[in-house]
Amino acid sequence: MLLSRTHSLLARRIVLILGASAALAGAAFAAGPAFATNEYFECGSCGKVNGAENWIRNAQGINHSGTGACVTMWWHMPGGGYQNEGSACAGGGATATVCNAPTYPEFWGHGEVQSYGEKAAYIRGRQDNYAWCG
Amino acid sequence: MIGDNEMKPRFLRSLLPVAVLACVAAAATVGTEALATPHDSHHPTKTLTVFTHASRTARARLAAVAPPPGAVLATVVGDTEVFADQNENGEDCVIYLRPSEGGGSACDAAAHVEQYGEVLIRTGKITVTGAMPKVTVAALVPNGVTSLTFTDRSGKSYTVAVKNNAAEREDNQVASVAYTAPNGSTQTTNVAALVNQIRQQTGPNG
Repeated sequence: MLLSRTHSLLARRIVLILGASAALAGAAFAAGPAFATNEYFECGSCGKVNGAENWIRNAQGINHSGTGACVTMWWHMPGGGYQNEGSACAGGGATATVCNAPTYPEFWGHGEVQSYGEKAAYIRGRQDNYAWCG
Repeated sequence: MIGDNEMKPRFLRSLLPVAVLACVAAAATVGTEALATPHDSHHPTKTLTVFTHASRTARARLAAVAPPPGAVLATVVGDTEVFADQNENGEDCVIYLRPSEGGGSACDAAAHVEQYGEVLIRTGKITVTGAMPKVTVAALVPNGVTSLTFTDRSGKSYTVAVKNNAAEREDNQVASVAYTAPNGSTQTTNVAALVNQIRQQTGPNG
């Protein structure tokens, strides 16, 4: 009796753990990497705004003030300093996205959005490490 | 010996990790919020011919970056693929992908793109501030636009043909790109000014 109930409890727990693992794996598959980077940043009146340091693959930006925006991915180099890994620009009201090279799928750094020249623009940005571009 | 009354609390306790994992999974599946404010694109049309004429079965050849599901391959220039897509925010997007570089996209309200088009400027890696990066221009233009005029920094001009509403050209020396919209207006993008701005960036605090 003791043995069968203990086994029954163990079996239930194994089933639950397997089920939970499958659910988590499914969610990770649907959303990209598990615990994926997906961070927004914005500034109500500035020329540029930066995201937080994280693992990134894409950066996105828009200038709601009208003149357009350029979005840049900055790689935080191991020795210090930053390197521009790529930029993309689009006109006013349009969203620009820049995606990293396949050889370096994601890297430690952050996204930056800069207006076309305005010093007091409403600009928004987002950075992620998702596998698709656009 | 474990009694039935003791099993129920234990069984419930065993569900706790499942509940926590479910919450984590739910958080991980939250979609991305659009950066753009929904404007006149709540009921977008797909009048650009690329959405009906181009191949929907084409797939990106890149392994690490891919266009969004449903994107249409508009044209291939060398090792570069240019896609058109209408995203969930009702915007028309031009997306370009290149194995050696990655890619980029520009998305704007469908109604705006159908009338005026949109231009994406993508620059490559810059290892030294001030250096000239690789510059690529990709455009999604209205029906009827057959070519784009590229003008170099030297003042020399040439045309790039449009295929399936899209055009793409890599030219580090391009100064501007222009085309005539269906309403007769000339749409000009000052590429050199944007590239110069990017070249002079010195990093996050610069």
